[in-house]
Amino acid sequence: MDITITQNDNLVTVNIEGRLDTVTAPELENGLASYLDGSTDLTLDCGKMEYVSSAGLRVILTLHKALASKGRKFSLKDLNKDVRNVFDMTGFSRILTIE
Amino acid sequence: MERRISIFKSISGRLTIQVLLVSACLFLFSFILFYEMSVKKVEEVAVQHAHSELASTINQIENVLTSVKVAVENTAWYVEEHRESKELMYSITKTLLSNNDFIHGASVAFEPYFYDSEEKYFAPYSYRGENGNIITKQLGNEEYDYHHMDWYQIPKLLEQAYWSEPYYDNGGGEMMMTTYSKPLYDAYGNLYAIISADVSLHWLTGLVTDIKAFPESYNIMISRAASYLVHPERDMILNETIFSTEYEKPDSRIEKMQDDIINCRGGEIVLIKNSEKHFMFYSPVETTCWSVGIVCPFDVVFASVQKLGNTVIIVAIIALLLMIIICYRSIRKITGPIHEFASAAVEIAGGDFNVPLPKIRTEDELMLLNESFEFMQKSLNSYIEELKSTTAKKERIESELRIASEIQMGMIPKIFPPFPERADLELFAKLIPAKEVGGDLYDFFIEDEKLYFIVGDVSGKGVPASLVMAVTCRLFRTISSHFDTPEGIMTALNNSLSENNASNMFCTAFVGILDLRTGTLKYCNAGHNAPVLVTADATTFMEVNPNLPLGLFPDFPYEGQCIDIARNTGIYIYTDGVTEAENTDKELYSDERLLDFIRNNADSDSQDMVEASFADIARHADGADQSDDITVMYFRYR
Repeated sequence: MDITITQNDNLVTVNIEGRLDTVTAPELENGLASYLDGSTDLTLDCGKMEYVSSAGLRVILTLHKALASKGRKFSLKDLNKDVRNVFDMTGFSRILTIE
Repeated sequence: MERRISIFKSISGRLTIQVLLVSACLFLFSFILFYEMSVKKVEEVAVQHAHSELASTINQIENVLTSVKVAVENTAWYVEEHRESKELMYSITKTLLSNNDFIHGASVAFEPYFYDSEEKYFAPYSYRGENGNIITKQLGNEEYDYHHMDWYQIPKLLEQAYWSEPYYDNGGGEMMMTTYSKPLYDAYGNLYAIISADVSLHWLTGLVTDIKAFPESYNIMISRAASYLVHPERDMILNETIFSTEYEKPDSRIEKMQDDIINCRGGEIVLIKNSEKHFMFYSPVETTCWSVGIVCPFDVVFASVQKLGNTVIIVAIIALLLMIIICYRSIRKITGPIHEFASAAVEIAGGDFNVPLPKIRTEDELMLLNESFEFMQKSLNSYIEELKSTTAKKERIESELRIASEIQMGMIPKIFPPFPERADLELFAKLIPAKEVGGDLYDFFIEDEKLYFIVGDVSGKGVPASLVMAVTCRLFRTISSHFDTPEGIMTALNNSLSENNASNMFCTAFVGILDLRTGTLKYCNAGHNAPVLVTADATTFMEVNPNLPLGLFPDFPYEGQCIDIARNTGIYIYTDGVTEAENTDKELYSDERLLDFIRNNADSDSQDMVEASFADIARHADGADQSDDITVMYFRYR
């Protein structure tokens, strides 16, 4: 998995490429830890994310909770069909902002 | 592993050979130098010795010849005084003989018609008879025309005294003679007579033969014309010249000797005789210009040098042998510890780190090697200790995990068939964690003719997931007895799990309650994979509401669903470890393949279905590691 982080004014965009699973989920968690204390909004660009496991879902949920508690916006975009299915099936689509 | 090294390839062997070669070369060089110098010195000594021997013999010869010469000189004066007295000449010759024992015969031979115009020949002659008496007679006559004899002619022509070439006296037996002739002149310088003395040379042989300069040498004497006068082989005497016999190959050295002999000079040359090298030392008798020579085999002259050389070589060989032994031993003493180090290294490689090292007392490279070895032993020991404790720790953790795994597996029903007495339900379930412990769970029980069941999957895997799994399992049993709807159970589970869940661990779950009397199935899905419904007509994923997984948001309103199922309907409930099982190319097992598989095995009983399902997943994985826990529960309502 490769993570590319770009910051524009008040929005941090995280481009996730590859698989977000048990092995790579901690990378994402550590990689974004420093952005949790800021005040910017955060968008996960999942256009190139091939797969998400439950460990990945946990990290995404943690991000969601952390930002939501501070009134910051957290969203995901460009989910492919398989990934989208996972979010739908687990009910995550109902609590996350998916564009 | 003990290897033998050839003696010639070992350091000690190679060094010894090198030292030996260098020493042998040095010795050879010194020996050649020493030998050459010795040869030169011995040659000098030999030359000196030979010439001193020659000088003493030649001195004796000269004495004899001089005595003859002096006798003749004195007699010549007497003849001059009494020239007129013809008869007196007889007694003069006789007196000459009696005055000098070496003179064998003497004559005063006059020019033709000196005393008498009728008398052409007048030569009074005295000689020693066989019994030693002196006989006197007149020598010249028509038959013995002495005026043309060499002893008369040559001094007359040379106008000086002359020693004839030695010759064998015809009359006097086998006796070698030489004749000393001196011309006599009157007051006007006219020659009137030749006075001559025949000298027997028999004493020469003894005198010359007696020289013993060298052990195997022999001596020769040659005349001015190079004829032998003295030679060990008698036949040679006066018959052969030195140039025809004494050497085999004429060369420049022979020419020098020839020149020396003719010109009355001494010297020495090396001759080849009978294919053997010989030294010849020669020195002239100046009066007659004869030469006395000592011939000696080369080897005899240098025998002492040879002997010395041999001794030196033997001593040197013994010394070299001793040196080899000492050298080899001392080098071995140095390299010995290297062998021991090699053996020690093998022992260490075999696991004995405390093998004793050779004791090194010298402060040299070996001591460094020893220190390195000791350091290596210490490092290995501490490394192994560390490894042991790490391994022990790891083993403890593994053993703990094994126990944890047993505990975890003990929390889920493992006895199949679980309800052998029931004809309306047939159920089988199987859980294989990816690690020792996992986050998957299943459970079921029947109460009041209702089947309660759950299949769940805690996010992540390993120990953290297993703890949540254990909690969920226990909660399900406890909570189920208080609620009769799946959504009620789910809500209660969610509320319990959401408390103090700072790490956001969550659990997807499918909970169902099947009324075995009516076939009414109530269920609630918390973010879990939709189970597969297997009916006589179709095999499809069940319709499920997307409720959130358990443990995230307390008081989340879980929605339940309800369907009626006919008898002979199967329900296949699983975790995402099934559909997301990967092969080596990272391809997922997929929902499609799962549906196809179940469709093709729709008639199997529950155990066959589950076991075949795991087998098909293994086929798909094709050796790839199992990345997630896999759980399958299948039951048929009959």
